[in-house]
Amino acid sequence: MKYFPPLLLMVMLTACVPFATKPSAITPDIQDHEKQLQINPQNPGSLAALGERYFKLFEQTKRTKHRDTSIKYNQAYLDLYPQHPGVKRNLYLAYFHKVSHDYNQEDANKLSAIFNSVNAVNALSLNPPSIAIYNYKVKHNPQIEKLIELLKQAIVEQPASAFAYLKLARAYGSRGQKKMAQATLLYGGQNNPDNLYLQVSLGDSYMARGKEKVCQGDQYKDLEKALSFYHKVLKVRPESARLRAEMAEAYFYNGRFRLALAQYKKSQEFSEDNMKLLDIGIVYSILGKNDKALDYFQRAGDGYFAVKDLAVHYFSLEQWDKSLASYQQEFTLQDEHFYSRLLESYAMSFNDANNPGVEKLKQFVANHELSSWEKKLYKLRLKKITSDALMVDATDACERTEGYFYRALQARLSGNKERYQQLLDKTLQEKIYLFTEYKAAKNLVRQARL
Amino acid sequence: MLAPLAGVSGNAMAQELATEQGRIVPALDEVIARYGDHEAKDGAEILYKYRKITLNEANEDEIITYLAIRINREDAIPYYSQFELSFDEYYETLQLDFARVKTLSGETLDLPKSAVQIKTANDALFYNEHKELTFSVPKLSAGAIIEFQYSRKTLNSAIKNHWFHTEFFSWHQRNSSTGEYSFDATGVSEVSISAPLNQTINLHGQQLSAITQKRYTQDNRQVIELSRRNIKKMIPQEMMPSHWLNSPTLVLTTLDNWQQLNQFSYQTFKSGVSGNDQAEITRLATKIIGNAQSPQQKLHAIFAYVQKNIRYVYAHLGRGGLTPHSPGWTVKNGFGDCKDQSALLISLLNAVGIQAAPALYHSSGQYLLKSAPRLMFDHMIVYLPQQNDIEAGFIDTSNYKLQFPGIVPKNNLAQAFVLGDDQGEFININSQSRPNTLSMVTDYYDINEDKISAEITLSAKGYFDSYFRSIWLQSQEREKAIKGIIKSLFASATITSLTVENEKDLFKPVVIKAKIEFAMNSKLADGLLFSASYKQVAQSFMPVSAFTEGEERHQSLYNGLDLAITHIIRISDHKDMYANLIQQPVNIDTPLLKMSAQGLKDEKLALQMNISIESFLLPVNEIKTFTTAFNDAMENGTWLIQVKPGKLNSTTQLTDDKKGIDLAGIKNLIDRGEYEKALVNLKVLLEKQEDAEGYFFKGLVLGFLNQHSESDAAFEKAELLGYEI
Repeated sequence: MKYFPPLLLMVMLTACVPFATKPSAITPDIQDHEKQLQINPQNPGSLAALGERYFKLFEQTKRTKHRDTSIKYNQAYLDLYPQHPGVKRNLYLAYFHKVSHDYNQEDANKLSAIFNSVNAVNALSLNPPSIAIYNYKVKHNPQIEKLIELLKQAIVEQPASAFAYLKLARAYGSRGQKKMAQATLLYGGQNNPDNLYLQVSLGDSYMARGKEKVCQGDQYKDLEKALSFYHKVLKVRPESARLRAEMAEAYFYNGRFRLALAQYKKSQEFSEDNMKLLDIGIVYSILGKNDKALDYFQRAGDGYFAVKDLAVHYFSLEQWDKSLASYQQEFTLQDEHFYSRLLESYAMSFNDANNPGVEKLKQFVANHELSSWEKKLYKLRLKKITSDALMVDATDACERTEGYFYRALQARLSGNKERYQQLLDKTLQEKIYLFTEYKAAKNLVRQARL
Repeated sequence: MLAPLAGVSGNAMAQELATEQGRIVPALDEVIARYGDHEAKDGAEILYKYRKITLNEANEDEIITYLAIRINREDAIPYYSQFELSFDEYYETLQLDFARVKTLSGETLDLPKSAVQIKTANDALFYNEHKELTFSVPKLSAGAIIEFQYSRKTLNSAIKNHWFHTEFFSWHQRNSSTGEYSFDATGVSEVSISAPLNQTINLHGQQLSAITQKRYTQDNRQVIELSRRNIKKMIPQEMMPSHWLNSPTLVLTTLDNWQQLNQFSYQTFKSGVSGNDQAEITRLATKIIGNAQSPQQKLHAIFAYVQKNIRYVYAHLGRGGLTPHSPGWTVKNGFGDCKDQSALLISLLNAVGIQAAPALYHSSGQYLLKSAPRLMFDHMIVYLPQQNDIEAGFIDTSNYKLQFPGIVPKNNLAQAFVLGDDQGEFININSQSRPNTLSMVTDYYDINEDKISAEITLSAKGYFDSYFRSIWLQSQEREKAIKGIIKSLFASATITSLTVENEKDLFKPVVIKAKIEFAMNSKLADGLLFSASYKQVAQSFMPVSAFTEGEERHQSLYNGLDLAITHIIRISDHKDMYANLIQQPVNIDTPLLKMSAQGLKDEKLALQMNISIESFLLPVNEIKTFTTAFNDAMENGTWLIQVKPGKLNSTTQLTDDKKGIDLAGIKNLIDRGEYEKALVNLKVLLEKQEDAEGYFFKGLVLGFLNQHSESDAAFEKAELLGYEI
């Protein structure tokens, strides 16, 4: 360890004290400006700087203490220079939060006064003061019927604000009135075609609806709609990682892997995240670029999901020993996943023709509750039901994907290569791209045709 | 905080010996010591104002006024760089006793002699004896204190042996550069009146609780002391009532009642009229009425004669402005002031058997303390009592711009004091329910591929008739001014011709007709958008900025103009056209403001907008009741119509008839939260034709009305028809 002279150490300790309570490098700056104000309480530069710093702290921490301090300094600055747009905006946002969370008439009047004094062009980017009051009322109104009435009133009074449409749609959604929820968002979007919040929310709602329809193979139209809304927002917010990831997922669910890959990569560029590395790896795997896939899986660390995806990847490449090693690693992290145990059992059998592979699976099943569908897959693995008996209960494309895939593995165990290939093809034909079984089948088909 | 007075009243202090000759308060340092602690944080403040009034046995006054003013900030200096004290040389003398400045560093500078002058008053468009004593004090800077004292002394009383005075206690100054006024805060304002014991001085006040009064006897004279403290700075705002209407005020008068004033005024009036010219006036009257038979026709003829032949001038030189010339003198000279014209009118009317009486009036139409009898008028008009064929009312020939009867009531409360042999009487000026109207008609008479041609016709009664007439008869750039009004209504139009009719006819409204053209910037087949809005009209003819919620309002809102506007928009082009209603305006129906719009029945493409506003005075806390409705009308008051060539489509008529409105109109209803009405119209629309979007809106409306199973069914139907929800 390097030796610090005592004086320097003292300075460091003194300087470090506020770090415990005030995050980031903003703090020393604050101290400097507060000292400046002790010398000249009306130093405009320090008032503006402190207003801005405390507002940033409030944004980071959401602590009302910082919000109120930012109000104090920003107001003092505006008393000297009433027209500064940036300071006025921060003061407005701080009061907006105050009125939204802890309403009183005096603050509401102040909020309105600031709003009215804001230049009309700048005011366009602000929610009007009445929304803060609605926000407060909504937070304090537990009865959903009353809440809906309140929000209906809000959309009439504030048709240009996204807030009320979004909350109203959510309220209808929570009551199970999904169509009304969707219609409310659409209506809000019609009234505010340029509002990003509404566009994203419409995208999200179509996305959610599309995902619900995947197992019926009916997701395409909704996901395309979702993408059309996301595209509009993308023009304005091209650097939104979250938006890019949503778009990637929509493309992925619709089987447009290259577009999905491009968006996942962009998303990763703007905000790095191990889960996205796995998503990229999966797409590469589906596309047959297995070295790249492996690279991304390995870069994603050694957490549960990374190990699990790696195990499936090795399985799809028929690298049974590596797959088994990854499964071993996965089960040390979490042993709750029936499908991982099921695949492990097949890997064991393929790795060693003498190993029935079912012992560990049996142990798992003895200690875990299975769904009726999982029980059937388990029975198929133990050859206690026929393939036909399994498929009788496969009611949608998701279950058929699994049914065909595990039947294919059973055919391989029986040495029926032709049937194996047919059933893998059938697995892929169901186009349930997000399923492990689809991803594994994609590579296994390639292996089988080599 | 005020400095403690240590038991010495301001007036008592004033009576202490002052070092300067004629000075009515102690030396400036003493004034500062006693009153300098007043802190009003404004640009400037009146530390101390003291007025000493002394009445003699004939009730003639001497008024000495002292002021000490502190300049706190540089920005106040333009308001105090020049003082203007107005007076009327006929009635009084005025002299500046002294004026000086004490700077922040303690230096005292007296007013240079060259910095004082007497000049003719700025508003002296008329012949009168109003003068202004003006002076400018040296070395004004922040922290400086100005003191000055001036004295007025009566030369001639308006009413012999009577005296009246109005005291506002505050002080105002005019910015010498911008002409704006400031009404700065005042720390202490005191008035002392000393009068003979046998005189009765009546006090009439408003907001008396703010004024301290004290009466006592001293040296065999009665003394009245009045004082007000801490008068706040008053910030003037657009469309506020005259500031003194609501401020604490006192009127002191020796008149006991209005009949004393009637007696004096009527005698004075008659003293001018009674002459030897009655025969000449009767001959003239007979000639003027010619063949007129009815009293109404005779009245019109005499009104027109006086207005056309007797030029109005404000001329009362040497007589104090109260006695008229004889009617013969006025006819001979061809001009006269308001009372000369009134005297002539009354004589001519009486000569042909029409009763008429003089009436005193204040042109602002606002009276302060009507309970206090005194001369408080600046104009004379003529009152006609109810008689054969003639309704009771007032006439005024002094303004040649105005239609008969020549009067624009400033508000519904304006009254005139009608003089009479027995007694005078206050009578309402306004006898009509709607004295000020404005009518606009916009007729789109030719629509073709190149341009749209329209004619706009404007006519009015009352205020706007006077406005149009005065522009056309008086302005050197009259065409430009009238075209400016048309352009404010139709900014994108080109004015191709302009005619003005009846501008000299006193019994018909002025009619302005302008032909305008709009360039076509789209294909006729694609449809044209016509819009008409309340805002379009309001921006040209109403004080929109004062009626919309902009800056914080801290003064009452006063609207003196009671006005009704109608705007008819018509497409009279004979081509086959039909209209889609894209947007329709809200109806406003409040006691003070009404705005409505409807399609004109029995006309194919015509609609009418109506706007009416009452005169009102709203205190600050009630202003929103008006401005909220007005803002709503400005934001949601547009009628947007898409016109396309073709046969009239039964589903898209303009009128809100039983056939219902189209989807855009229905969406408008949903936007406004009128779900029941939207549902009724949706049902009508969907009965006629299946419409996917219509079912979507139906689902939305039913959902908003909490009919969720019906709502879901409507959404399903919309989806079935191809609407993507």
